[in-house]
Amino acid sequence: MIEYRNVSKIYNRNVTALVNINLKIKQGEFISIVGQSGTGKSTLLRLLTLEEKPTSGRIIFYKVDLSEITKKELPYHRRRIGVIFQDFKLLLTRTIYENIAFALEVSGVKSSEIKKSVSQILNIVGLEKKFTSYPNELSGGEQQRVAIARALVHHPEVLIADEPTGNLDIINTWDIIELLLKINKLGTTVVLATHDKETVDRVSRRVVGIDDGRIIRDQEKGKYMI
Amino acid sequence: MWKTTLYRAVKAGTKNFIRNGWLSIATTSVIALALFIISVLLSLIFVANLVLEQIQDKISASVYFKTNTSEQIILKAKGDLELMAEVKGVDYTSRGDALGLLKERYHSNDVIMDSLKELKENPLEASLSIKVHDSNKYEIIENELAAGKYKDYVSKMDYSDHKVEIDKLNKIINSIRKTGVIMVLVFVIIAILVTFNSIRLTMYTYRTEVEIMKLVGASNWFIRLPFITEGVLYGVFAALMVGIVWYPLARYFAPFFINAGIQINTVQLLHQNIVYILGIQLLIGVLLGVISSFIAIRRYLKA
Repeated sequence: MIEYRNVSKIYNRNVTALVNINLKIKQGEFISIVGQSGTGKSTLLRLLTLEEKPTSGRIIFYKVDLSEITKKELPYHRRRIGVIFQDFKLLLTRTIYENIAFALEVSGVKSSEIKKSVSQILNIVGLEKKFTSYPNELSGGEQQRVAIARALVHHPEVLIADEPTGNLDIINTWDIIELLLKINKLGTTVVLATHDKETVDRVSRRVVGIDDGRIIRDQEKGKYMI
Repeated sequence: MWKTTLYRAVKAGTKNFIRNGWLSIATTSVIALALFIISVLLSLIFVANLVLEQIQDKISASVYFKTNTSEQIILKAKGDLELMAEVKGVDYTSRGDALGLLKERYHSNDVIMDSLKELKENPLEASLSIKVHDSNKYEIIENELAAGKYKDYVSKMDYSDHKVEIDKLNKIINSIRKTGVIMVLVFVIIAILVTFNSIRLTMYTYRTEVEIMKLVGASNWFIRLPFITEGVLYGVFAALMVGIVWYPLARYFAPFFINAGIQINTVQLLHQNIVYILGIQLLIGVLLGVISSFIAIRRYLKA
């Protein structure tokens, strides 16, 4: 379970990203964080991957207080989370296979196991025939599926998706959302940040609305409203 | 686990090196250039030293003994000189030998030959030709002979006659050594800076990759090792590139020395020292590559 306790993030006197956030995310939940651009959605997620640290308050991630994680422990913490981004963030000089395998290589998994896991996950995201291609040779939708495969191959407890469909057309958007729902069904907690109304309405799960760094709404089976 | 990590790092680094073909060639060439400049300067100093040693070897001081000095005393002086640490060797030329040499050299010169016949006695003095390890040391020898126990027997010392030339040569030798070392140092610093900058630019192209790797949960060492592997490869290939240039270069310069009357065979010299030269180049190249990569990537790991 993930818990934000009175979390605030202030960049400087003029820029306040988050104000006194209190939020609990249960294991196996599919939660959509909604709000317009620049309202603090991404910051909320970046606090979980420790790309940012809160100015005040605490975040408990599966019984671990994130403020206590040392620099050395940081890679191990990140291996418990899968992340996907609007701009995919794939390693452009590596093939699809190598991109996905990388997430396992960092943990020192045996090559034979990596081979097995990567081909399994490539089947799930439907890219089994493209494993020797490079990211630039794929469409946006395909690249995002590679990113999802990389985020999931090491079986993380949580999948964080920061505007994953922002660069995709409608058909690809639905493909990706369907994939995220499927992953959630298999037990992975999914935290989705988006400003896309249709996506949120179609998912029809818990919705947390953020405006100006504050939580303004928290509804089970919610719709996109501001 | 560390074996797997190392294996994967070396593999990833090698793949990067091959896939970024042009960037790798450019970076390797810069290191090769740096290595080449350092090597050329070092060998120039080495060859200059050899040349100077040869010139020094040709310099000797001669001590002439009065004609009435017995051979026994001269040989004793020779023995004493040979015991001195500064002295490399002493050759004795007796009065008879000196006359023989003179006759041999001027046998076609009637004037000299006739005047020798006129003289009843051999006019030439016996002499000791002295060579020292360091031409700075002739003065000590002079003091030993002219002021010591042999001062009554010595008629003259040739060293004093050549003093100006010998001092000049000493000055040249010392300044060549000093400027050579300074030049090497300056060029080494320039070479290191250029190499470092070149690798820094290469690493700049990797900065997003590093950021992504960190997000996926790679430890700093896991990210760093492939780049260090690349650094090693830059160094190895640069050393090989420079190594290939050495033989044609030695062949090209060999006639210059022969024409100048200097007994240095650059090809042979290279042949004798090739393992040593390649070893040093490999070491410098790899160190340059690795240290530069290490420092360049550190910046993006911190961010």
